[in-house]
Amino acid sequence: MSLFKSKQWWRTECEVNEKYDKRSLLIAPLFGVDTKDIIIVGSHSGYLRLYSPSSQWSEETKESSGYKSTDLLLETKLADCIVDLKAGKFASGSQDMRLGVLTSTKLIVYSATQIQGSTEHGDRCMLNVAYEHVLTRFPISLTVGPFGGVRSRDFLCVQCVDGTLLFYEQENFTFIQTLNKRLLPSSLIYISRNDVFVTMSSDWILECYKYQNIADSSRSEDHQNAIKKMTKNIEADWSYNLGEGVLDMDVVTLSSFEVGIVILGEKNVYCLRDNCAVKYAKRLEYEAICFHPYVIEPDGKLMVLIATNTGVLMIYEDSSLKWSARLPFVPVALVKANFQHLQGAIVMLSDDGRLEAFYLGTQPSLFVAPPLHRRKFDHAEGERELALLRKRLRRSASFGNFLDNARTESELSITVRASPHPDICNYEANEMSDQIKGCVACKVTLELSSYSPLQDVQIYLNVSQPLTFNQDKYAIPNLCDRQVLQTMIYTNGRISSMSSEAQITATYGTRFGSQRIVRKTIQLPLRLFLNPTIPENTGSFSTIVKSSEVLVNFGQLFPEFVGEYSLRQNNSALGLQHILSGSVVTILYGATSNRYRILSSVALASTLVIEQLLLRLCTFSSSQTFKASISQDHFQLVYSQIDAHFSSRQRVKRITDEIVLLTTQMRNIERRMLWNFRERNLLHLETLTTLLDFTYSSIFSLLDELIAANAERDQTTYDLQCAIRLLFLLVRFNASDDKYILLRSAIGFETQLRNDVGWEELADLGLTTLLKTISRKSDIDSNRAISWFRFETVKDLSKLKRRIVHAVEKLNKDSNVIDIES
Amino acid sequence: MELFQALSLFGRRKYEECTSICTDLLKKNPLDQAVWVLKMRALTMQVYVDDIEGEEEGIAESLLDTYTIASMPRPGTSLKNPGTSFTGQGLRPKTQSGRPVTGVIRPLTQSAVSQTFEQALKTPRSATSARPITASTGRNVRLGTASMLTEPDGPFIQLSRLNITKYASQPGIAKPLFEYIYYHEQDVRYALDLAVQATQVCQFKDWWWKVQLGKCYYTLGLVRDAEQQFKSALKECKTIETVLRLIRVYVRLDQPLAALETCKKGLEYFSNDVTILTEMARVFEGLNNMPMSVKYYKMIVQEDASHTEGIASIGMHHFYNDQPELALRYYRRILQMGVYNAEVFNNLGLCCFYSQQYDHTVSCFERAISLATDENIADVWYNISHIAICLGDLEMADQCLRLAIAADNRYALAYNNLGVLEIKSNNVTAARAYFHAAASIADYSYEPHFNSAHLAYEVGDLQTSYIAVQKALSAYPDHGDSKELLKKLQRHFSHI
Repeated sequence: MSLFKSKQWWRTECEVNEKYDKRSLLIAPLFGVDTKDIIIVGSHSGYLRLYSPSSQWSEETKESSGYKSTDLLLETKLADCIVDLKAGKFASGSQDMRLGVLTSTKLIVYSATQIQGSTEHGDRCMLNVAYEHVLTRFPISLTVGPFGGVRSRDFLCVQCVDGTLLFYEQENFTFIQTLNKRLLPSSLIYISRNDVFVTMSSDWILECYKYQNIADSSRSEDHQNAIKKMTKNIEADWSYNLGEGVLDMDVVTLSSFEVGIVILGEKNVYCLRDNCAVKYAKRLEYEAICFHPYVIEPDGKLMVLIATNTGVLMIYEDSSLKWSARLPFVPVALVKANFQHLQGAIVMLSDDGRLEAFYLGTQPSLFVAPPLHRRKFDHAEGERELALLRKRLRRSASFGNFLDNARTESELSITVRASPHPDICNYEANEMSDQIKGCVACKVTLELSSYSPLQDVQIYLNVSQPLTFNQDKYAIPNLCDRQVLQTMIYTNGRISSMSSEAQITATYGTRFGSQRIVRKTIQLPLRLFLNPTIPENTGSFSTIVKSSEVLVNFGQLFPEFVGEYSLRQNNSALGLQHILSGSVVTILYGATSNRYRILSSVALASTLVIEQLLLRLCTFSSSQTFKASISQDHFQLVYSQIDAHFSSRQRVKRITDEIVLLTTQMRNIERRMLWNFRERNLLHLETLTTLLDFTYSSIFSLLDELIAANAERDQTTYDLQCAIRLLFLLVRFNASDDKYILLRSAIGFETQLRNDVGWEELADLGLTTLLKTISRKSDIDSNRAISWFRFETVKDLSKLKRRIVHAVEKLNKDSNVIDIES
Repeated sequence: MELFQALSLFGRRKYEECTSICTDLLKKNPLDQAVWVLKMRALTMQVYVDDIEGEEEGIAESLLDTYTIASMPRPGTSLKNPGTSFTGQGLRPKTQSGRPVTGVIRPLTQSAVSQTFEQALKTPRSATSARPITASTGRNVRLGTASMLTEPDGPFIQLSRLNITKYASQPGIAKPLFEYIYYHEQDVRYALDLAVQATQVCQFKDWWWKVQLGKCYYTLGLVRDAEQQFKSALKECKTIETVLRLIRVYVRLDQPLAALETCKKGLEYFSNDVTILTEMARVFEGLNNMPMSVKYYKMIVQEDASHTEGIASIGMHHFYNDQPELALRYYRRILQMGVYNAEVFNNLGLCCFYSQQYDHTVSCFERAISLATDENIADVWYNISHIAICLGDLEMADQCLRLAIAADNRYALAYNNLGVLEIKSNNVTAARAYFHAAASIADYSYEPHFNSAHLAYEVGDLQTSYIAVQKALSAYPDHGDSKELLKKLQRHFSHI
């Protein structure tokens, strides 16, 4: 984040295929203190390059003249790898600046000489080896300085990869010393004012060693002994626990009596005094990559240049940010230099050898937003289009009432919770306790909330047969804010349940007199109906659900049964037992064939299990991936149920007819008796009484039969619905949604208790209409009046059965229903 | 040579190359501790995240918080009940918890601290990113999986096979190892184990280990233990990081005054440190004390003139103080600094509009729309609707609000404004429905409550009006119009 760009003064590229790091750049006035600074660059491939930028400001072009080929003074390959570069008074008896080059195997000191005007284009530069030392270990850094407080001489100290320090007094090797607790080498700096070395130990503690101490502990022995005694510890003069790794360190002279150690840590910048007290610290909010501290002379202001790894240069005075500038690349080394025509330029080097000298300048790094891709905009045309669109919008059906859902939700919101752990009902206080004792029950909590008061709220709870609600109707005259209702749901009877759904319907009147209905369907916990049990493989009725994706295992599908014995023992089969009827349904898991097989000895018992299985599978993947095959078995099931239902209806009808006959007979007998009384003829009275008694008793026996037949009819109605539901579940995956809805509306309704028009008649009518709309050829007949057909005998049913098969097959095919209707 | 290259690469922050060199070296000599440590460091730095800034308080932390003692704190002593001490800027929108909207998204502004379970569960930020804010431990696990991807052949260090006691006694290895376990493996339990043993080895004298212990405790939710460790560490050595962590402990414990005290003490040692000042400004902002917050943000900007959070916060303060021209200058600076996103252009557009530079408004919003993501497009449309309302183009406003709702169907304020527009076209029933929808989504903003109360009063439904106006006042106790309406209603009821 910066407002300004750095202004380029001079730039060049060293060899691109070489690598450079923070020690590869050195600025030094190599040819005498009074002349300009020379840029010295040594690459990891062993090339040494000397540059002397001669760029100057030209008034005509308003920019600097840049790189000239004569700026490169020297380019030579010295060794395999140049590790570090330092300049100093390394030659004995000479005050001249010498160049110390640390290569991978040697420490070489060069003297550089410049021969004025020796070639036609200018000066010539030569490097002569003054002396060299062979290193036995791989070096990592070179530290120079007047160790021991010598005057006008610089000594050298080489740090090796294993943390050993080798000391050289110019041409002579002096001693070797190993610092303790070193795993990895770290930056090492020398503070000449106090004659101390500062470095970082491996546990992130900054340590300071007096040169005198290091020298004393090593020099007392001769060279051979020193190597033996390497394990001897030298104690740090002082230490400071920094607590983080160090990227770079440097020492600056703040004033004549104060020295500052500037440390670039991984997360902070520190400035320490030489007595290990923190002068200031600054937490960095970016990743720093290299830095360069310097002091502005007259008033001793400490400035720190920090380059971030996003290529921004930050300039701090103490801890406050003074300037930031965007750099053209991310540097690895950063130094301030004085050149021939520019004092105080900043030189930086990237790790692939780009070298640039720049100054800050106020050229804004203006961020220019990319233009929006947009042709010349025709406002008149746009306005016309907008008007057209608005007109269309107003005409569209959804305009204005898209909020309907949100509205009803906001007026009355119902939250229903069924407790997930149903248990045996033991509520003694309940007045129906006799009936429901021992049944499995589950608590259902309804929470109604509304923002504005609602009048006449009525709640109806609706469940299919074996389930009963404790209380299934609620009336709340005035609903304000929030109301919580609680009811119990429990199972009753001996039949297996068909579905685990419960429907909640709420009606309410708004203040404006209109009536609104909110409907909600919830799933009751499966524990209410089923118990896990040992799987049985003997079931005769089977259904197969295939999947094109990897099957989900039972633990994920039926988490409520996890941990029960059936799931533990066998992973490929799950047995579920209906609590009420006791019939067992087994789901087999075919991992190889990618299908589930549902087995049951009682066909109707599997409806609930299949429903739940499919429902849960759909939450794991889309319904498109499943295929359920409808076998002849399923149709047979529906047929047999239709037959049973029909025969039970017929039986009810027959009994009712007989009762009608008998009551007529009884009326006739009574009339006869009355007539006899009036005639005072008591002759036949005796026989008539016998006849009356007989008729009377046979009516009663018929009535008993009727009750039984009605119960049977109810049962068969339920079974039929169960079978139809199963059929629907399977059709669901084979037909598209609209077709499914069509079929459902044709035969999926609940049977009304009526004697003349039963399920068969209505279903037949529905199917006929359905088939007519589906098949193309019957376009002409479609507006013919529809009449219903009365079923009299079992024979008539075959037509209905055929129609069901026909309809299901039709739906399976890919005929587009909508098309035909329009 | 290879080790030298690896070290050089490490210094240049090229961690990936460094790791691969170390891997090769370790293949040759698996027992080289120096290389092992270097690889550990490289892997750590590769996935290092500044965990002071990255934390988020999840549902589990905010609800199952055992440290909250006073549910009715004294004025100005809690961040959970702000607004008790200072009168905030009434027009500044508020988040669910009643804190004012902040200038930038930062830790702890995404998940509002909520008083009830229900409210906490309703918190997801928008319809498109309903990322549940889980417990922070869970989040750490998810961050941890990212680090596994960096190693193709199994984990570098098998934590379960690590001899922690052995390494704890070697400080040069223990510290990098701790960071590796904490940041790279994200296994706080092992990290804590190591820290406990290491701090015993150095006889509880190393502040660094105390801070690390505190970090582990904090992550595990043992906030009081963390506080002790940080305090003890601060006694030994003052560092910015420790101060910051202690401040966050106090913020987590809902003790803003203690946090401010810590900030002040920290500033004595690190005068004008930006990070500490930022924490201070945030705490004041959380306490609804805007003047102090802005004062500190201004100090931050003086210290670090490119501090985005500072500039954005000052800009927003000016905007809500009816000084859009000043706000415009701050937002322009953010744009110049290279922040290029929908939010900045959106804010610029609004500032331009309110400072009557209409020509820029349109282009700013055009850019905002083109840059907007699914998350913030709703906000942009909502703001454009404001412009349209001010221009009098109600049809456009209506459509903008609908677009906002289409982008985020739980945008309560858009529903509210649609309701107001419906009133203008005399469509009372629809307006009522909109207000109710807005109120049921955003229970914490007073506008929909007040609007529905007002509407109900107008049509004579005094009971609804009374209920709604009470809700409005509980959301914003000092709202003048609501108070007046309540007074009127009370007079009506007393007549009856």
